[in-house]
Amino acid sequence: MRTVKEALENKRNGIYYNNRVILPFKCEFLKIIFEDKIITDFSSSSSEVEIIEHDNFTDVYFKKYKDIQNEFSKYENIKLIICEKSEDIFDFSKHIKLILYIENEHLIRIELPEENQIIID
Amino acid sequence: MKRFLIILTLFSFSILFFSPSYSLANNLSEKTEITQSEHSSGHNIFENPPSPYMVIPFIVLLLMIATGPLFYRHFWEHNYPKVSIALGSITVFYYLFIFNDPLSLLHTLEEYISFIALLTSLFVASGGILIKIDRKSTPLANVVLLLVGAVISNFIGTTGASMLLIRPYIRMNRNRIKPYHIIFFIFIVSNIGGGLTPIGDPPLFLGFLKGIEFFWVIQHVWHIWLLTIAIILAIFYLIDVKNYKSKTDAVDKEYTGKIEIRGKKNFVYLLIIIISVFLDPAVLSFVPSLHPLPFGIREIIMFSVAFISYKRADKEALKGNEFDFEPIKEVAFLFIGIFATMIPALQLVAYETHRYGEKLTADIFYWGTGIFSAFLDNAPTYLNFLSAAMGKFGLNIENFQHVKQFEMQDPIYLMAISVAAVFFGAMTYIGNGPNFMVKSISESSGIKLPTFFGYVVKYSAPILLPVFTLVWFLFFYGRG
Repeated sequence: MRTVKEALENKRNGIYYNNRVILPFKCEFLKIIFEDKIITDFSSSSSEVEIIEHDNFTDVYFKKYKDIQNEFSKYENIKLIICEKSEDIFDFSKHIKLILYIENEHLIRIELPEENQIIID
Repeated sequence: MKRFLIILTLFSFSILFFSPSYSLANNLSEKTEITQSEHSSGHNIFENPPSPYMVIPFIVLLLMIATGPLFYRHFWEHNYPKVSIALGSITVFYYLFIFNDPLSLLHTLEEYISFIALLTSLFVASGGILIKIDRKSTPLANVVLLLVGAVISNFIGTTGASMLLIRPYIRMNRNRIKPYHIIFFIFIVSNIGGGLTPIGDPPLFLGFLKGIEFFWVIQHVWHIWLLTIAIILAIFYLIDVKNYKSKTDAVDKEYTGKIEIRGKKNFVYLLIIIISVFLDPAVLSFVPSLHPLPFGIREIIMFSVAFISYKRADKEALKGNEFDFEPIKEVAFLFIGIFATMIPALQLVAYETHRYGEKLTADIFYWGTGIFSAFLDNAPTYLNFLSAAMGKFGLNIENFQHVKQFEMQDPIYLMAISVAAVFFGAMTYIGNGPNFMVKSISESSGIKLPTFFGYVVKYSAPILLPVFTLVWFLFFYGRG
């Protein structure tokens, strides 16, 4: 299993194809901020996203969009609040905030937020 | 599709600009002295008004703007440019080929270009400034920030001030932020604050373009503005003190008290934009007119500043602000439709109020402008009610001299319309352009805000309505 920490340390990128985002780690999702939509329903009946875990990566399907590249401009991004599988999800200090930048050629750059960037838990 | 829309827009403008009927009417207008009740194109709208059916595109567009983002968001996000241009084209066709009044279209095109030039330049220039405030988010600090926002919104517009301050405000309050923080920001910075100058809020700028003197608003409504801001800030302070007391334990960081600004050079660009507002041949006689072009020196400067400020912007500031052209693109496309479709609406309102004008009082103008500004966009609402108020006295909003005459002889009506259009824009998310932008920025930072109806029921109706009623009672009740 690949952790979020490992992915960040090794500067692993994610990839996307149309509305499928493939993240190079496994984690517990708490919040996804897609444009101005705050998604917190990750149940199987969610109308917004479907999450499928694999051994070393995670698929996130954004069901309402055909191609996520069309939704984001240069300085816009997807924000995540997640928790490592091995950590205590009830401990807020263990929550990790990530920013996904949608680049060209199916690439997703994964970064921790800079001081200027705000993600409210 | 974007290219198609741009070509279609340019094609529509070029038909208008080079049509034989425009040239004829234009020549006529230069040679003919305008009589008091005569429309500037030669049409006397009090004798020959446009067809009432031509209001339908305007109503359809405003209803779609109000309901689209709420009830059929996906369709609206992808199709609003087509809807706006299609509805606007109906009016353009009618005025060119049926009503034979191309000058109304030309005046509207000139106003549209001025309007978009100002909003775009303020939006782009302020988007390149990133402010970091390293202070504890005490209730007093929040009140000061909101008050500063209210004041500067009169210099850089409610859109510019909202863009500039919403992120530092959220960052400062990140440890205890609640929906009411954002909602009071919308009340004060995105709306009411901008009630003093034509740069402050789009309705007042449209009034300025029609001929209202730049300093008329501040001279006549500053005391109403001050009282309203003071009351709303006092309410905010009381609510924030309660929240602050319950959350102080969570704040354990040391603060330097510093305010850091990236992209400072953009303040120079903002200053250039503000100065250029006055570069109009009607305001300063030495400014050359570019007639018959539908824009002037002012618009060229504003668009140039927008381009240069974006190209030379601090990239870290743009990144920190998650800068995106989408909000201004949306305004540009929607207002093509609004400006075009509201021409017959404005003329019909003037025609009807000229007939029934005696029954219309300042109370009606205050509440009428207010209610429509709350649920429709406040810029066209302002113009419609200004047109109505002028029609009451047989004056035409399309006539620059009539506007000058109106602002001098009956200030109470213009005060009521100006105050209500700006203030009531805060009543809903759709009342004023920046409201949705602030909502969108806040939600993209992870702050869940109330729904459309939640905003009205929990916040604007209980807080703003009593304040606006007090304003009406103190300043407008029984005065006109």
